[in-house]
Amino acid sequence: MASVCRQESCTIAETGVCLLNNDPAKCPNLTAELDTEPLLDVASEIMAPLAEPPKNPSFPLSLTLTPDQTSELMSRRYCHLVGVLGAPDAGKTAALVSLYLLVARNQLNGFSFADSRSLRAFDDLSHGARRWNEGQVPDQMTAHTELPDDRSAGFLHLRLKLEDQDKTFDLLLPDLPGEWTTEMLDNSRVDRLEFLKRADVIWLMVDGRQFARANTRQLVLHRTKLMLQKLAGFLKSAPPIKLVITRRDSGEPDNDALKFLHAEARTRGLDMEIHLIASFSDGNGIAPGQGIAELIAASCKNNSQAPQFWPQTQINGEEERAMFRFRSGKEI
Amino acid sequence: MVDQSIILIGGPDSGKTNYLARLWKALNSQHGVLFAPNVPGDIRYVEEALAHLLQGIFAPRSDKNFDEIKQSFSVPVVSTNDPSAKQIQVVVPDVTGELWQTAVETCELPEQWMTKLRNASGALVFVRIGSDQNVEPLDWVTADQLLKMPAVDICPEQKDIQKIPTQVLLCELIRFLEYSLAADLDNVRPRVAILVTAWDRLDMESRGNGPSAYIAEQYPLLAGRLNDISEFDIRVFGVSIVGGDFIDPAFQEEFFKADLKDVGYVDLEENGKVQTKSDVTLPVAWVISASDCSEQ
Repeated sequence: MASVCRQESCTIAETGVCLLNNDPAKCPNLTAELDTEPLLDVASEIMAPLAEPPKNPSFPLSLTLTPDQTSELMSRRYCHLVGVLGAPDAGKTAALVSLYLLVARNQLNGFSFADSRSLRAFDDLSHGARRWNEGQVPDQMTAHTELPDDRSAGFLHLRLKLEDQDKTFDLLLPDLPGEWTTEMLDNSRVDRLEFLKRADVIWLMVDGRQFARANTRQLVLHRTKLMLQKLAGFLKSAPPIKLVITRRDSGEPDNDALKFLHAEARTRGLDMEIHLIASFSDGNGIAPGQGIAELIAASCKNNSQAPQFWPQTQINGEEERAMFRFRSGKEI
Repeated sequence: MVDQSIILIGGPDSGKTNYLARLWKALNSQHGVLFAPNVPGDIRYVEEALAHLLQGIFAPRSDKNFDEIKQSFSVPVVSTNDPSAKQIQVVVPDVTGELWQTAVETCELPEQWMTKLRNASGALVFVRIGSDQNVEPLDWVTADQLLKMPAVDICPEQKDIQKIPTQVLLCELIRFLEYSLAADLDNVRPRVAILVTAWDRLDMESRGNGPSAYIAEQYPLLAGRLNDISEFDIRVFGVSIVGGDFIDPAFQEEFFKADLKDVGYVDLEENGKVQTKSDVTLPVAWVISASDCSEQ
């Protein structure tokens, strides 16, 4: 039992030595037995905390997928991961919403809907849930476990069936704030965009209105060129790039601008195609959703080629012999 | 007797209760592929709904506060083709469509209903033609406006466009079934029948194309989803429980001259052809014949 002393500054409890040099067994100030009895039974005085109200059993959410959910999905099925990049207001959300509306109305030429693990997220986006949490842009992918009130950064999943074929394929489209792209350009902050290294294709979204206007044309060309340069630097072996020029209904870029961007991509060793899309339409003869089906088709075709079974290698020396040993199936 | 539970699923006003009442009449009349050899003990719930039908009125939407236990209809059935076979006790819990609507909105389901789902060997999913509760998918014009509009600026009159479209609701319900239907049963491959109710409201050409074509045209997301499911068997039925609409006085007059057991039909697809059968027990008969995987 611990000793407790009434004498101020006595350290008998810690040292076992009485401050007044009394025999601990006979010290009148020592009140161990009495004082160890609690004066107040705290446990009985304080009410037990309220039990958590019972929660209803839940189904998996169908919102944007977290990185973990994405990995789990990709471990079971091949998924075409699309890296969607673009400055704020480039038209990324509009393109995702238009894709969803095309699928929901069975107007995506060549494809039909098969499944989506993030159907509610698509639907919420289409209902205008485009603003991030009270204007605060998320700083990382959300690992939500409960139904959030706000839009959260993550991946949108869509499984499409090829028309007239009994074949489906899965698309993963990130729903990220444009500020992440801006920070990649301005501060080289790429830690949140590591997933691009696994991407099958990258969509670089650029606001088409800026190409059409004389006073913004040079700026958008400069920023797009910068985006290509940064991507080439960040991704050592970059996947095919689709430069997606949005808002086609507001005008089209001139050929010189497109040639300039093609030349820049070639210089950087990037395989780039340009797609013009109109997610919505101002009623000038361009149908809403125009160009999106072609973009989806182009984004998936590159991966449909089967790899060469026995690729010819240029390996020489020791590594070549190792390859020969492997081919002959013998241990040397 | 073998107990089998099948669950009725659908949004508000999708025709669940009216189908249940008509099913009871068919089972009791012993004219279909399934019949009820005995009258079950507690039939108050279905009798109340049936009373409406017999008087030429569709049963009103289920009372949200109705005692849930009373809304469960349990009836022993036997196949007409094999009357000596074991009776199957079919337990059909009906519940207000708002429960499923809320489940989709919150991704949660009360414990007792989750348990029922996990122990059910099949389900009937309802979608009603022309229901004022159906929500169309957005179009580009509305979506564009919504994207440009701050969420706080959406006025009360526009709240309807914030509702979950019917086809998204149905896809989510199918996802819930994938996750939980028959999850606590061993060696059962569940069956899910999609019932397109008020089938008589379609013109003859659309009816001739069959219920699957109707789903594909009206609900492309649901149609695609149904073709991409491997967890259970699916079959689509077009169902008209009385063969017309009581709003039409001429139909009502004709209905009163006939017998309820002789009206109503089911359209189904067999060998690529649409067939009309005057037996509303067919969807349930198909669902309860769920194959036992252990016997394969």
